[in-house]
Amino acid sequence: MPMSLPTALRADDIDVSLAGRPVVRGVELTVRPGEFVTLLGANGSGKSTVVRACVGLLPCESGSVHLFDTTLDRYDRWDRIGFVPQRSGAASGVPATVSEVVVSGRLGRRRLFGWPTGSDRRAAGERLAQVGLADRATAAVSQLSGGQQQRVLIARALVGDPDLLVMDEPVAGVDAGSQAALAEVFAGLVADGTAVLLVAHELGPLASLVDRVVLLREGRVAYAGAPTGLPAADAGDSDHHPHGDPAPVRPRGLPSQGPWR
Amino acid sequence: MLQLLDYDFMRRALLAAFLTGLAAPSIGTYLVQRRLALLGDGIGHIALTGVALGLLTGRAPLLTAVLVAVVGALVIELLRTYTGTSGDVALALLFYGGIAGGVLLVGLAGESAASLNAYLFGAITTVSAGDLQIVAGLAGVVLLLAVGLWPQLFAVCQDEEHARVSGVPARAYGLLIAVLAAVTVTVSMRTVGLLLVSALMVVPVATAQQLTRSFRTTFGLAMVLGVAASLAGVVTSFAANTAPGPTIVLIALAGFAVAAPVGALLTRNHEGAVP
Ligand SMILES: Nc1ncnc2c1ncn2[C@@H]1O[C@H](COP(=O)(O)OP(=O)(O)OP(=O)(O)O)[C@@H](O)[C@H]1O
Ligand SMILES: [Mg+2]
Repeated sequence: MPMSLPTALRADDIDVSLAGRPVVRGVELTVRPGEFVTLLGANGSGKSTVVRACVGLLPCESGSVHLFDTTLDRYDRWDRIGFVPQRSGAASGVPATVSEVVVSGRLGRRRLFGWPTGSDRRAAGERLAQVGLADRATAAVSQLSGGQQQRVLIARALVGDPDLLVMDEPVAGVDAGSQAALAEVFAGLVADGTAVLLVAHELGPLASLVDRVVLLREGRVAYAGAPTGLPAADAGDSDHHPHGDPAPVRPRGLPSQGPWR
Repeated sequence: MLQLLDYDFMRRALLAAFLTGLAAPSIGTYLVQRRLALLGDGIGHIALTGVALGLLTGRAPLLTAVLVAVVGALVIELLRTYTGTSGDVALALLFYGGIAGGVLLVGLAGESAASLNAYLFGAITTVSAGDLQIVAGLAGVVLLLAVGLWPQLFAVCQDEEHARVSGVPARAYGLLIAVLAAVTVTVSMRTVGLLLVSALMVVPVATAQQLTRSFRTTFGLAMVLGVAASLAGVVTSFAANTAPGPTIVLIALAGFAVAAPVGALLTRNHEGAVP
């Protein structure tokens, strides 16, 4: 692989341990500007751990992570990164409006003692419209449904106009219609050169965007490459879905057996 | 009522009450947001050891209390982040250590535990001009940081991991919140006392959020309610000859008792809630 091409995210042979137990071993991952990469794998295969190590939330035991060709410990342009953590909600102990939560996504570009400005709020309004929540901007985030809260978190990740978007199961619990709308938004971003790393179980409407797939099994990369080349025999252990959706949407051009199931 | 202001001690008491009523809910909002509402109580117990240390060494108890409370707050925050001790267990450790240390040290100082009463329950009418200067200085710092840094503090308390990925040094802000809470506790020590300090940090926030949907309104309204309860408490205690600390807290609680049903009605009519 020619190293001269710029990368938005590069993980080289990373090992990560949680509570003394090696959870991720020797993972390689590259996302280039304008590329949409999907991280797949069964529950507990280490997807979130990889993602969290890539954005500096977990230390790597060995190997290295580069963001925009700068090592993680020297990296300081966090305004270029949009992040959606794997989460069950956006609420906290004190009420907050949808708009307040989304505006907090522009913190990376604000100085100390700098309060949100009109342009911060305008950007939040635009992103809320993109995730279909324009009319809920002044609602308390705790009064939104789970899927709506998830869309608030996506808007928060988008509001800083990131060059690298890292999302851990952002569309879990989001209805098919909203997912289709999000797919359009993501397609626009990728066309503009944004790099996307997405963790997902079922791609649904997002499937057509995927350039490359990295499949994890027990903390190791089991497959990396074009979505069409996914090993078909993986259906059993790679992505068993606990809810057993009767007819999950399959990405175009994929075998009917495989981690999409 | 204006004749109250003829007394020097009363002017100082009202000023101290005003400053406490403003500072305590400002930092209290962040504690409630992090679901650490009882942190103020834990720090209050630790501060007791600080007071006793002051009595033992002959230094100003207010200053030793600030130092010990800050150390205690830092320890609890570090315990939480680095050993994974849950918030409530870490708090319990503070409670026990603080009370035991305080009573032990007071005994060593040759004083009875009763001499701690002024700090446990407050003695706002004995605030000296020197005390007031310390209280004003510390409350000013707390307010400046709690209000000025609200975007950062809000983000850290709302979603710590996301804040870290936004480049906010979330652990440093966690420590800052703990330190500000410790300073606030000692500031409020003379007003409402260490045992009731946390009430002034938490009750106005709880009252405000019955009526609000946004963080900013909750934050502002909590400070208004804190000031109102503190001033009304001091005036009432003077008129009715009751203990100031408990009077302030009961008035704050009465505010909650009024706001809770109103808030429930507002939510039912949905549109009504203040943004
Ligand atoms: N805090 C923790 N301490 C110890 N082990 C952990 C911790 N969190 C996760 N693990 C372990 O690490 C492994 C990988 O977890 P991870 O969260 O990365 O999985 P995942 O692929 O994201 O799963 P899911 O699809 O459920 O989100 C799991 O086997 C899990 O048991
Ligand atoms: Mg996960």
